[in-house]
This record gives sequence, structure tokens and C-alpha cells, in this order.
Amino acid sequence: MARARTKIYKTSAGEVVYGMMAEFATPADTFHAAEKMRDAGYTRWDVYAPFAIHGIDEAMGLKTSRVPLLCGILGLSGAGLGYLFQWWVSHQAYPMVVQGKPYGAWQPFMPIIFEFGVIFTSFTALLSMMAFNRLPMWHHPLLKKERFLRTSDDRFVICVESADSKFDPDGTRKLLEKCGGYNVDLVED
Amino acid sequence: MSQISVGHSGHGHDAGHGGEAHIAARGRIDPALLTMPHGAGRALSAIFLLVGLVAVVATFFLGYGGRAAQAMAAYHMGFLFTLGLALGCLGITMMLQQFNSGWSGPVCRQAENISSNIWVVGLLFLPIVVLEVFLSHGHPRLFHWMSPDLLDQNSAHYDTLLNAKKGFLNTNFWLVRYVFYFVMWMWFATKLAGWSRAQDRTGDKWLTAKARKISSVGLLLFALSCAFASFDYVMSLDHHWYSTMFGVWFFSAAAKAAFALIIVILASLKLRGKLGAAYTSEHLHDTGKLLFAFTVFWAYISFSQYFLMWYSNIPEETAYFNLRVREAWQPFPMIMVVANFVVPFLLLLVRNFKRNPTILRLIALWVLVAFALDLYFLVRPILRGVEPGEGVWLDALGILGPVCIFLAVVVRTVCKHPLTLLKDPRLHEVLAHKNYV
Repeated sequence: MARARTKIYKTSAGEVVYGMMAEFATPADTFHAAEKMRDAGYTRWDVYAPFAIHGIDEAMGLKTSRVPLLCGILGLSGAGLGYLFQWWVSHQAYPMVVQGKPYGAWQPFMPIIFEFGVIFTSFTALLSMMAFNRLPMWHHPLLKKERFLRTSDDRFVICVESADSKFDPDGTRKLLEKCGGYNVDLVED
Repeated sequence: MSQISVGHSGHGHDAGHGGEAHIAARGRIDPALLTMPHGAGRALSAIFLLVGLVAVVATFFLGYGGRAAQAMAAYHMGFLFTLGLALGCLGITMMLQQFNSGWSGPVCRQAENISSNIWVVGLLFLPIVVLEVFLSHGHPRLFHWMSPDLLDQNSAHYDTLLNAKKGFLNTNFWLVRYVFYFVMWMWFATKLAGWSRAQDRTGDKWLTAKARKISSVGLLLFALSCAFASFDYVMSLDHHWYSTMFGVWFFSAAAKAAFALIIVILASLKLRGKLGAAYTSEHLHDTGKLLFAFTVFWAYISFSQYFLMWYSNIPEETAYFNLRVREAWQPFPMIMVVANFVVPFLLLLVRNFKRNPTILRLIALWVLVAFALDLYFLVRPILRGVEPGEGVWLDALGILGPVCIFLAVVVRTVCKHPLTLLKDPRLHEVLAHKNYV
């Protein structure tokens, strides 16, 4: 998926730059660096860690996810659809007397309406989470970096994408170093 | 944010060691925020007491003036309202202890405050006991099964169904149960509240373990007694009807109302600038979620009870709904569903509503009013021949009386004790509590 980029950066070898990564040794360093990156106004960047760092979303300035809203809307629509299906079948298409109850009585529909609501909500949660995270993602430029692989063990990485409007090879490098990052390196796309 | 596990190491990890700690010191909260000033709440409590007493006296005289049955039914609704609040809070206290819930210091304290006043509820029921059992001259107005006429084989009113139930449903056993329930509830409520208040002074962390221990037994007894009390005080109003789900239903309604009252208290304190870091929008969010959960639980149980009866269509079960879906009562079931479920459900779905004390308090007040409406729908139709809405001022007065008297006592209790658990061993969890959603 081609993203709108403000500017395309190239390494000296002529490769397109994906972004710039810096390593951190402890979660605390990473946490405070994230706060500084947030305050510097960066928007397209991410923190990679071997485990969840509590409060990192606030330190990064992440906004509330849109997943719950979608779940709410689609869950309620699903429940409505569940009613509609049953009503159409047992009231419109093929009305049938069951146990002497009225046609299209809403009571027996309720369990199915509930199930429809649940299944729409859960599928929306899963699929919209994947969509927002661009999953499944078969490859990521960072995985080419040998040093990056340690984020699944004992290293923390902050990577700023070159697609960030504030990205600038020298300025970003200086800021990452000032935040306590080391092994600051360009990442090729 | 001060308790994230990074950056402030040594700040969040020494909790529970080194004996007692005070939440004010640990959370850097001004201790004045955790107590009410001397004499606070007196005016509010006095107003509640005055309104309550006036309402009770007015109900009595209106009943004396010819609407005896309706006045008693109205007062009974008020009693059930307070019973729901107190019992719900007793259950919540024991659940929080049993789950070893750490985040809920202020919630636990307010639940204790409300449930430790369950003796008032017991006293509030006395007038009905006296009127029905001792002064009814064989013609009880609410609990018709108490009438000896119904069990007299030679009488035209002989009731075979009641005869089959008389082993359980007889006045003496009913009185014994009344005493037993309230003594037991009072014992648990005062023990739990007493220990937690003693811990505020001494810092003895083993009191928490003790509370947890008796809560495990307590929850079992609570579940049974709550169910049987609901049979005794609500279901037996219509002694032909029975529903095995009714005990759970009553608990769901009571717990929902109890959470609503706890929210009203805590949000009011928060809006007055109290509690500080001990009760933030994070805690508010979670109490809102619990209110949401019990709203859904109420709807689930209500529907399940209705659904099975609707399907099987057995007369002694449908009698209950037959009375409540016909004629003037026809719109009420839907009003109940909308007021008790649809409105709070949709409002509580919104994250920001749960995190805002002003809005959450409004929703909680709505839930309390809806609970009163629910009791109206539960009790009032048994007065056959008295249309819904007829003498609605009497119904309102009757409900207001016991509720205001109970609230007067609750307000005093809330103001008398610290607003949160002060030296609970899980204080660091209260202070570090965050939702991460």
C-alpha cells in the first residue's frame, strides 16, 4: 500500500529509508524517551519491547482505539439483523404456528438476536483490530536489522518512520541520542 | 501515573512489607480529603429523616383513611427498596473481600457503610409484621396466605395450593425466618464493617484475611438467605405463583441498585473534591462497568424468567405475568425494559460517561429511580382493582418514607468514618489502579 510521503530519503547506497531506529537498555529509558518523542510532536513512530510496558500508550500519546466504537455499531446492527432474519422467515416467508404462539412473536427470537449481537461484535473486534494494525503483515523493514531481533529478548527499540512529517535524518538522530538511545541507525525499506 | 513500574522503582514495590501504611502517606493524599469534617452531612441527614418521618406518618394516616391495603403495599415497596440496597451492599462487600479485590478501597468502604445499617431495614419491616401478623384480625392485607380462613377445609375460601405449601409458608416459621435473616445479615455486616474500621485505627493486616475467610461462608449463606427472603417478602405476596429464578432476579435487581447508590455516594464525594488519588476516573470507570454488568445481568435474568414462563404457559407460573400485561398494566413491561435496561445499557456503553462523575451519578440516580419503578411493577399489581397510577402520591409517599429514613442513617455513617479503607494491605493496588483501555 503506497503511503503519501512528504519526502523520500535515500541512504548513501541509494536505498529508500524506512525510518530510524534507536536502542534502549531498560523499559524506564524507553518510557521516558517515548515521552520526549511524543512531546517533540512525532506521530508516525513505534516502540518495540519484549513485553508490555504499562502506561506506554500514554507516554506515546496514543489516542483511544476506534475498535470499541465499531464494535458497538456493528454489534447493534448485527442484533437488528438477527431479528430481521427471523422475522422474515417466520412471519413473512413461511409463517408457521409453533406451540400456538403468535406469528413473529419476538420472545423466541431473543436468544438468536443476542447471539447475532455477540458474533458481530467479536468478529468486528478481531477484524477491525487486524485492519487498523495492517495485519496480516508478511514482512516488515525492521526485521532485516540483525540488532532489532533482540527486541524479542532484552532490548527496546524506538523507530521513527521517514513518513513522519517531522522526520529529518539529522534532527531525528540527535533527538533519539538525546533521549538516551544508542546504536541509532537508518532502516532501509 | 506515579505507579507505573518504570522510572519510580522502589515506589510501588515495598507495599505490604514493613507493617502498616496509611493511604494518605503512600498516595501523597491530603488526609483531610479522606475524612469528612466534623458535623458534615448533618443537615442532609436531618432533611432525609424529616422527609422520611413525614412520609411514613402521612402514609399511615392515608392508609387509616380508607386506603389501608394500598398504603401498606406502598410502604412495603419502600421497605423492599432499602432491603435491596442493604442486601446488595452486603453481597458486594463479601464479593470484594472474597475476590481479594485490591483496587476497590473506597467502594468496599461505602458498601460496608450501607450494609452495616441493615438493622434499620429490619426495624423498618416491623410495622408490617405487627400490622399483618398481630393486628390483622385474620384479614391480612398484603400477605393473604396468612389468613387462617384459607386453610380451613370447611371454608369457602379453602386453598388447596396453599395447603400444600403450608409447611414452609406459615406465619410462625415466617416470623422465625424474619428474625433469623436479619440477625444473620446484621452479624455479617457489622463484623465486616467493624473489622475494616478497626483496621483503620490499628493497621492490623490480618483483619483483611479474616474478612476474606468469613466472606466465603457468608456468600453461601447470603445467596440462600437473599433468595428465601425474596420468596418471603415478594413472591409470597402472590402465594399461588412461584418462580425458581426469583431469588436470583431479586439479587440482580438489588446488586444493581446497590452499585448505583455506591456510585452516587462516591461521585458526590468526588465532586466535592474528596478522595483524591484514592478514587480517580479510573476507579469511577470500573464502578461504572460493574453497574453496566449488573444492568445486563438484571436484563438476562428478567428475560430468562419471563421467557420460560411464556414458552411453557403453565397457569401457576403465568399468573404473575397475566396480572401484569393486561389492561391498564399493559404498557408497563416495556417501560420496565426501557427504564431498567435499554437506557442505562446504552448510556453506560460510552466510555467517557463512565469516567465522568457528574454523568455517571446521573445515570446511577436513574438506575435507582428505575429500581423503585421495578418494585412498583412487582408489588403494586397485587392490589387487584386499584388501577396503576391511581393514588400515585400515596405510592410515592410510601416508598419515600422508608427510603429517606434509611438514607438519613447512611449519610451519617458515610460522614462518620474515613471515606476509604486507610490501612488495607492492598493500598498500593488502589493507588496504582488503571484500566489500560
